[in-house]
Amino acid sequence: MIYSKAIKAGALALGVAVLGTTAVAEDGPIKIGVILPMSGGGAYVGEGINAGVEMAVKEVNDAGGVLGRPFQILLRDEQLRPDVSTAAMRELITLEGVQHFIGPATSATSLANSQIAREEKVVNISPSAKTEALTAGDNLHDFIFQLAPTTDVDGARTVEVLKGMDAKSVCFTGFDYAYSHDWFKAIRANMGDIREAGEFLVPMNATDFSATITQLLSSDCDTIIGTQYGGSFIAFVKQATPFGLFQTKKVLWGSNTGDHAVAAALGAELPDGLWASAADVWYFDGLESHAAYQKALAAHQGRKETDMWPITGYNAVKFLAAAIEAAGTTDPVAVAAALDGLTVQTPLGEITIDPKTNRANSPEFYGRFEHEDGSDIARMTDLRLVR
Amino acid sequence: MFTNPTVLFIQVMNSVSLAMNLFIIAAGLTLIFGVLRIVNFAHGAFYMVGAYVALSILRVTGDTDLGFLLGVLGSGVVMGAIAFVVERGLLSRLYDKEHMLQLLFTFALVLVIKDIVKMIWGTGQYSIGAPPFLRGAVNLGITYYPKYMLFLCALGPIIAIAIWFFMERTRWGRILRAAREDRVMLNALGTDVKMVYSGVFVTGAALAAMGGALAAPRSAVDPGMDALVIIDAFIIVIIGGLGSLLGSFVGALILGFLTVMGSIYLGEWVIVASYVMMVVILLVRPWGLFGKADEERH
Repeated sequence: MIYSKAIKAGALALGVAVLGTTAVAEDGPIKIGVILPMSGGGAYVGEGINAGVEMAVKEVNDAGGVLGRPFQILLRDEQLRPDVSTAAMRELITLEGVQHFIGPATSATSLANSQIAREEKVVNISPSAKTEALTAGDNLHDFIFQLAPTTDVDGARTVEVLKGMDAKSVCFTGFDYAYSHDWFKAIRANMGDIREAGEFLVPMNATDFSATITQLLSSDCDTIIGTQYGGSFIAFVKQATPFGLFQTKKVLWGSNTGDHAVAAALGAELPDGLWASAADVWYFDGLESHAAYQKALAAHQGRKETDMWPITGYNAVKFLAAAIEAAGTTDPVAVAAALDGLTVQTPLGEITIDPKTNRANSPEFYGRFEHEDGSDIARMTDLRLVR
Repeated sequence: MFTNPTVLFIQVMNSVSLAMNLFIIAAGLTLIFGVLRIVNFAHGAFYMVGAYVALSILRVTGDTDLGFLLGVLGSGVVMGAIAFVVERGLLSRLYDKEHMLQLLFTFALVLVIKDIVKMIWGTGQYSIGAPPFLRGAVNLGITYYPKYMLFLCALGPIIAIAIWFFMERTRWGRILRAAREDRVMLNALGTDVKMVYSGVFVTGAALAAMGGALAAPRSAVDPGMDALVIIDAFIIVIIGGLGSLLGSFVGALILGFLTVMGSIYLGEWVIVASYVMMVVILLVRPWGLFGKADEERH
């Protein structure tokens, strides 16, 4: 009997302790799980997005937090690997009690983590993944929100640019993966009289493109559309230039290669006339809100010529803060409901999440690279902010 | 596709150029295994350090022919010096330990090097241009072809012949071969085997680093550049035969042709094809095309 009482007393004490902890947690910081590539070839993307997250969190916290509570960032490295990315998300849910996530960065890792968000009923805002599959069909659920323009939207926008380039026939090239397939499909669906002359894909993460470059040169197309990104795009340009590819064909590239980081890495090697897109460019001066954001970002990063990735993380935090404020609680079910149809003022104007698709109508820049005024680093000219 | 002989010629040249770039990297790996009997997982990290060191040297010298030459040689010297410290200070303590410890050590070395690279050069992406005299294309009669890729086509065999000559025709080469066969006996005969081992590890690491510097004009310099090249290097030395220089040369040619031609005909299956080829060769000759079986060694 004494033993039984002791167990009951222990259980009661444990219950009080747990309830007490919960009460403390309700008053403590709101934890945001930020899962991004912070090592390897994708680290520059993760560091960029995280810089935007940090800046927005600082702004929110300096303004008194959300519901009177500050945001706290818990950052994990996803290494561009779905297994690592999902393990990080489960760890943050289980050990840290995180209920709101930003990231991962890529389509493959985002698809994997979205399924955990569905199972665990935690909010997952994807800042940068572009694949339609993330929020299409059975993959769409109440807790996943996609801020980057999806491939179907990109496809329609790209065709408008192609028409402006006076493209008559196109060749497709890039990595053999979901983004390429989805984007090319969307372009084909919209390109009307523009003729397709061939598709030349390479295995994911291939580093030698000489065979494909030779195929592209011998193909009957006047315009090339490609998808290699980051370091792979840099390698493609360096391998294609001595073959004269950029002198003989017009080129339009996806995968946000309009990012200033790419132009800075290639310097004088980036061919003039190449069309590209970017989520943000630091030299756009068409909006006061963007100028103010860039000024703050420059101060945060210690350099004026910033990359495009921070704005994706910045907007993700702003959406999360607005949703928690609107919901009046951090409960993920209520926050997810508040995100449906939510409109937020961002540096590039108002962005709204469609309550049916959970996709935001984020704009993107399109332009043509040129080295101007003798500068070694090209900028996009004919710059247009496409909504 | 190959009804056009010009296109076929270009694709053959592409294959050889890629193969020779890979051979320069794999040569160091097979050299280290051949003498030290260590499977060096850090070889890709050495390759990456080489590219970054060349980048830093070129920032100082400017984008000149001499700057590029100094970048390539400097990458070998710097990586060689680092490798000497690592080998003498740490790796040499593991020669008599089980292979698993050696594997774990080189794997740990990868992680340490990657973090140091991140601290020094950050996570950004960089680019090294080809030296001015190797930019553009040259007329080969039937077509124009990039000068830098031709340079790689020529450099691979030159390095192969140089290593072969050193190994087969010099006193130091005989010592290395003796160390590979029986280091205990060599030590008993009065040769400082420790320094032989250091020399081999330094040379192998320097070759990897110079391979990274030479590959940089055709790729991006970024913190992930080591991950893929180490796989290719291992495939080459495994199919060629661990420790065989000729095997690495032939293995590099096989992988180069498979990668270029396979990407035309096999699409995404080209990656699987390289592994299938490795498995088939290992089933037929477990010691690789030009390696020696244990019974042949003794």
